[in-house]
Amino acid sequence: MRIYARLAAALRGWLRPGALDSELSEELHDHLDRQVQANIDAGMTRDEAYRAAALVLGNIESIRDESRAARPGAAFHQTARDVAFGVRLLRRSPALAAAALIVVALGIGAVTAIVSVVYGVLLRPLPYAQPDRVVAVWTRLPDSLRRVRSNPADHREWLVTNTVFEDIALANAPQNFNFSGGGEPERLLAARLSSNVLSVLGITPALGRGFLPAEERTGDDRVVLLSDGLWRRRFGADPSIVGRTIILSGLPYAVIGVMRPEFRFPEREHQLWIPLAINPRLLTRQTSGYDHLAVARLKPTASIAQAQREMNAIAVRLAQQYPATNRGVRFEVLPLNEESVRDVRPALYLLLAAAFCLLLIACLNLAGLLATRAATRTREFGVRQALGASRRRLLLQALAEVIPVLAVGGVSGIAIAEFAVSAFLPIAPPSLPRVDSIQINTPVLAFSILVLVITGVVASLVPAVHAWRVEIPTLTRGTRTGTASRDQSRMRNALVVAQLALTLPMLVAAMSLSRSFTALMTVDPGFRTQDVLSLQMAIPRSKYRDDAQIATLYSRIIERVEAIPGVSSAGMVNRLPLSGNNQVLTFAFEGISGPPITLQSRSVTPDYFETMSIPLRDGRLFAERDRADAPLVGLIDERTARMFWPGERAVGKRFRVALPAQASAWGEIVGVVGFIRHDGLDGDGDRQLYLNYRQFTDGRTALVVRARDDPWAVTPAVLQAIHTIDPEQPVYDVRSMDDVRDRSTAQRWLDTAVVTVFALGSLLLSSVGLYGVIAFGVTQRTREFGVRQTLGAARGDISRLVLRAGSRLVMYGTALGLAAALAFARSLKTVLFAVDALDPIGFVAACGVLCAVALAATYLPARRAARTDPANALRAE
Amino acid sequence: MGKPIDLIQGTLDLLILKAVATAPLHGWAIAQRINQLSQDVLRVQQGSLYPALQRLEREGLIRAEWGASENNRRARFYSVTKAGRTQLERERESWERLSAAIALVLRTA
Repeated sequence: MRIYARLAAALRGWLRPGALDSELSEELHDHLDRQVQANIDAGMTRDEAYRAAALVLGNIESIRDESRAARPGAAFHQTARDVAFGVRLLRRSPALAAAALIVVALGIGAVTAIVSVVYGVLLRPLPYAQPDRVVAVWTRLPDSLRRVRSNPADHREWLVTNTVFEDIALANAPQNFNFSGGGEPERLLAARLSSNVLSVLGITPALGRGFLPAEERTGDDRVVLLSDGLWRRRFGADPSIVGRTIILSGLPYAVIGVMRPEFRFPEREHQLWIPLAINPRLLTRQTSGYDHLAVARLKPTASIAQAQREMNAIAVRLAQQYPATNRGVRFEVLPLNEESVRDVRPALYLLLAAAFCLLLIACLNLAGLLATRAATRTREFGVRQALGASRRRLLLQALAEVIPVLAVGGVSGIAIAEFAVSAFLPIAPPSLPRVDSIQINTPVLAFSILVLVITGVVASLVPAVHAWRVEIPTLTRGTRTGTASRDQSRMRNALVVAQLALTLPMLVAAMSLSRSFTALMTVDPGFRTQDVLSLQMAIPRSKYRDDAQIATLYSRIIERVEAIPGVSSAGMVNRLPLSGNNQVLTFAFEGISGPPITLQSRSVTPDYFETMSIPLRDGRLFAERDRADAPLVGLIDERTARMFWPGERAVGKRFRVALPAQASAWGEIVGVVGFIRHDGLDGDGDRQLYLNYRQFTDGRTALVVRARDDPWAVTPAVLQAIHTIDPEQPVYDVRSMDDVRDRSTAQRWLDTAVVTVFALGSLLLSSVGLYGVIAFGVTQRTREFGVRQTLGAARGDISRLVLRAGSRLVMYGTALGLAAALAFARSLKTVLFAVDALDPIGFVAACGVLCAVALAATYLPARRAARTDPANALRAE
Repeated sequence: MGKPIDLIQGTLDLLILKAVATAPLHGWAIAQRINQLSQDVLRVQQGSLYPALQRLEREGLIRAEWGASENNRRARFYSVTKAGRTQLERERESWERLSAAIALVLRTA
């Protein structure tokens, strides 16, 4: 019964709040009438009776408020009314509404876009079972600054002796396969997986089965798992593919399964997986194979730190057991993604900081806009307070009034972010890992909405609290003056100073990054990228059975390509510079003692140097007489020559490939060539040793072609030439060398561009904020200016007055901003190249830009102030 | 007779329930009825009467209906519900225990 009554009352409250209001009004008036009648009956005059009755009943406005608040659904209806009022206010001042919407949309858009990237790359859990239990085990060789992957021989030992891992699996990637399937030949990237990879990651194929331990033997390993993408693209998502046989690089493989779309292991480029059959020579440590990615699942009780301690102990034991190969070798246990995200993390955090800085400026800017509006409504708030509206009620109203701005601005911001992210993904820098997991998904949206709400609360409460420091007597004196308005303008000034102060570090960061990027662009890679075309090939060993056949294929291709009109020269290299592919070999040099030396090493054809314009400094280049059966020859770069043999000729010195041990004969250095940057323009540059393609043959190669004119003009003829020699041979990554070079700097370009855009946005917001405050001040002081002019002030005096007020704000903002920028500079150090984080030029330029733009923003209202017509100004009041 | 006493916090609900327990009354009459029943010792703040009525209605302790009062004026009549009656009984008991206890303390101290 009671529940029924409550429900009925609630329903009435929800459905017909207006009816309830008018009922209440009627009731209150009825009450008043009766009291008046009673008073008259008691002998009062009508006026007295009315006054007395009103006095006894009290403030009708506040009774109404309290009664409403006591009704069910009251808060909701109140908020709805306030929101509607907010919409009306916005309609009345469209300029302010537009400004507020743009500010919110910019701030939320920037934060949403960057957070989606940071979340996707750094935070989103990997699509594996209990992803925090999955780790990678890396190896650190004694002479290397870099971590390398792991050795199957070591892996075997770990499996037997460790107590912290449930299991450890190996993957070897990339492997190239040529696939035509009756259509266009295509190069597919594959990874070789040990049979326990899927169980370590805790996943299963979408169709079919995973690999069996028995398939890890050469000969039994002709089975393949397909990626979801490949299955859909090349096999029309046909489930009956499982069990069929496909031809990869000329050999038959049985398809045993199809993986799920989210399985992108080790990288998103991998489309095929085949069993990992380990070369027995690797297991007996006759040759080294530090190119196997080791992934492991921690036992539920084990932590990464525990695992690390155990691997340290194992490393010490292996060093004693196999001193020849394992002395000084350490193992490192890391979260699976750590190695790939490590390089991009500082840059992403920088972008995140910049986005939040922009959002904070937007929030302060919105607060400033709302404060300006609140200032024009001081009287309204005062009157409402006098009529009995509670302070809490007014605060809630201020919050509800910004809801329309937040809703529209927020939705637009998220739309902007969605657009920006979808525009960014196709051009994402190749160095950015996990690009495929970047999207504006639920966690990102939830975060954005949280940020939006916080922004709204802060931006609406700051001015609201100040606007109501109104003493009621001031209301009767008119709209201006009083401590209240001084307090308010001080608050608006503070908001602007804070915006300017936050803008400066952004400008400093943008300047430093731009200067750093400019410096990077002027770095000489040591070769000329202009007019050079590059493309990659993976030659199948099943078709070209030995090194001699592959080398012959290479020389035939080069011969044919060089015959194309418009081509001036062509060469091959097994790892293209600046492409992110490296080959590191260890060498011993005659007469130089100590451990073997790790060098960047490339296998090249004789014309490679001419094609890339790498100069010969001494001796000779490779020639066709350096055949496989001829004495081993090598070229080194000039820096290596100077480092090993300072003041001596390097030509004629002898070297030996120490690891891997394929070539253990002594070779002779026959020439010294110019130093080039293989790894990246920002790298210090690894030392290099070149081998001849006939003496050190690799099935992976990049063809580089120097065109006389435009590299794209000769591209079809080059592709045709390869096709004529072997119609089944796919080529991939066809790019101009300029493009390869740009891709190598894409991450830095992106950081620079985004921070610069954010900095310009901040500059715009804060200078518009400054303009708003100064212009508002001018409007409020129109009368004062009129009086001053009447009393003889010149126009210049008036505009100086305004400019002085503006420049004071700019000065405070710049000073505070400088302090903030200095504090922040250190964190910029890791992402800068060739520019000091405390670079004075950047600081001076940033201050200059900020001051110039800010002063321009105050000049406009100052000029308007000077044009005040004293007669109009005085009449306006 | 001394000056009328303002109501102790929280007792208004109890008095309203008591006032409408015998017959449905409109707002003004409730205030009058409380004054009358207390022989003008208690004074209802008329300003707090209506929020209290809304609250009691929301809690389902009273219900309101429009009706015609004397001389045919429209008025909103409040009457007690079954739940309201139970509540009144409970509150009356606890009030009596409380006032007896206070009286006891005052007498003996």
